[in-house]
Amino acid sequence: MLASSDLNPDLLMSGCTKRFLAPGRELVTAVDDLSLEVAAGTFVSIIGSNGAGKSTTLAMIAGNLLADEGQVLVRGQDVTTLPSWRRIGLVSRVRQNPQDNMVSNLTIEENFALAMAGRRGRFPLRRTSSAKVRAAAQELLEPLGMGLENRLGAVSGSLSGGQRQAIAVAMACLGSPALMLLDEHVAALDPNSAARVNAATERLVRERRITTLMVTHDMKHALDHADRLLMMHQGRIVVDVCGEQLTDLTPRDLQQRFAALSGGSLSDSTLLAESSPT
Amino acid sequence: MIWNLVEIAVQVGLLYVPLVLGIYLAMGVMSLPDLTLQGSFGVGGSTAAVLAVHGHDPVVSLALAMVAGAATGLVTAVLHMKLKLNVLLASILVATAAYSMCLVIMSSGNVSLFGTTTAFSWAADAGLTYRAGTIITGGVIAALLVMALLWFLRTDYGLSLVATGQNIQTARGLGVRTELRQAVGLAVANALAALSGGLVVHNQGFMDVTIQNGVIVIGLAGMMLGLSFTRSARVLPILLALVAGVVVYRFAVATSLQIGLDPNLLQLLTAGVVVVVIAVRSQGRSWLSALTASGRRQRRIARTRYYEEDRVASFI
Repeated sequence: MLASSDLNPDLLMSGCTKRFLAPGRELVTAVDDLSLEVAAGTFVSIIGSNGAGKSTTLAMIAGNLLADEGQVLVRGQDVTTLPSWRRIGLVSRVRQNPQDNMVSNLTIEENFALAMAGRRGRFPLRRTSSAKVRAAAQELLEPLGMGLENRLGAVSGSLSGGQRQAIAVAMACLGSPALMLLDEHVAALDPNSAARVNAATERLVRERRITTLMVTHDMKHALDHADRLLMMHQGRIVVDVCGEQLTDLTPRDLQQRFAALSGGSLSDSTLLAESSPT
Repeated sequence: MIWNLVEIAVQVGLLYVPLVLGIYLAMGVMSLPDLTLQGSFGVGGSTAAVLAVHGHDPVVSLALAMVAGAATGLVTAVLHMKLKLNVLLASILVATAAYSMCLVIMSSGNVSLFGTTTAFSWAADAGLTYRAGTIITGGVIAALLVMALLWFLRTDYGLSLVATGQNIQTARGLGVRTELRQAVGLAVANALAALSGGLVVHNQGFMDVTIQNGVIVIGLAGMMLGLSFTRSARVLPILLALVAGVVVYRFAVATSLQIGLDPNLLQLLTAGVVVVVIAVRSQGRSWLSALTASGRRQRRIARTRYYEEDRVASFI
């Protein structure tokens, strides 16, 4: 079941398959003939057990992994075989580990300068004017309400994980990419920071109407905040709901539906997130 | 006597500044264990020697020596990029091959530059002593290189090099074509090493194929000494400390020889300097703390943690 099909979807995956050679020379299919269409401006949550193929799917969209079969189109452009560094004008990815999202021995300002140069696709032998970088950084960091816009000179490695993830999301918004991929970007944070970063993320992508795919284990957050919810199992999408169907859904329903559809079970963290009072 | 030793240290040390900057760029900035630098030092020396003998302008011969060094570095980069060889392994292979390349370039094991125009010949014409001319030439080149590197590492391109040396996945996520940056980093680093080789050869007036032996450790000694002078993460203090480091290293060598050290022990001394500096940097406080019981406990914890977190990486 696909969402109401748009004439020009921001993401169009057709027949994408990714196999890995697992230890022991056994071929494992991480993503199995996956097709997906996401309309512009949609906030999609992806849930599923470990090894369901969520991160592999994001990696194929971002270019960190290339699909063995199938095609990936972002805003109508075929990116199937492009390496990740050539996709960043179209696709931004924020990873789980704060260390992977910014260069930790450079300042926030220098990280923004790099990200801006990367968006332009040119790293010239001169420095982007500091005023320009600061203006762009302030515009993105101020709405977060975390006071980060006043700490642009701070070496990013000295910031907390939550602050770094918030900055990473802000950096990923530079140049308004077609797609924002959030790969469990709050999973390494404590619940308070996670809530703050989640709120900041939503504000940024909603304001800019950036199509977002968020992998999460927080089922309640996924249900409350997403426009569309996907559940993956064994490399396939087994649940795809949006609109009214989504608002009617409770975590309990989702859990039952998942079990019925796939015959599998959710990861412990999803079950915990579901049962814990919020 | 001390002043004389200082002068010798500055005179010789400045000639090795390009090499140390190259090692810092490859190993410190790019995090690539590049031993090609040793081969490039020899290739640069051979090229500069042969071109000087053929009567070329010193600037031309040193510039072409740098080109030859950059090409040597690019061979390592291509082996790494195209054949997926580990950089350490690729660089050992290329450094070994470079030894033969030196012999090919010179068509013999050594070349005398007697009677040719070198980068230091101008001093005699200007009525300066040989030593003064060496220090001025070396100083000007060192200053130019420090300024160039300072400017380069602060540009957007330079930042993308720094990012590549920190974390390849992060850099690619920011839009950096990291494999190209590694190639550029290796080329520039090896060009610097070759310049150092060319300067040393022009300065001593002859080239022998063995001058490259162990030169990487000389550079490492200078770099480690230099890095122990500063704790700053900014580029300028680090570059200045590197220049100071190689001069201090040369002072130690000159002093050792002055007080009668057997020159055969020089390589041992150099390796020893590297080990001692690294040991003091990482263990100094820990050794002091071993005087107390809680300090010894902390040491045990730190040592266990080191063994637990140790990792191996196969490079075949």
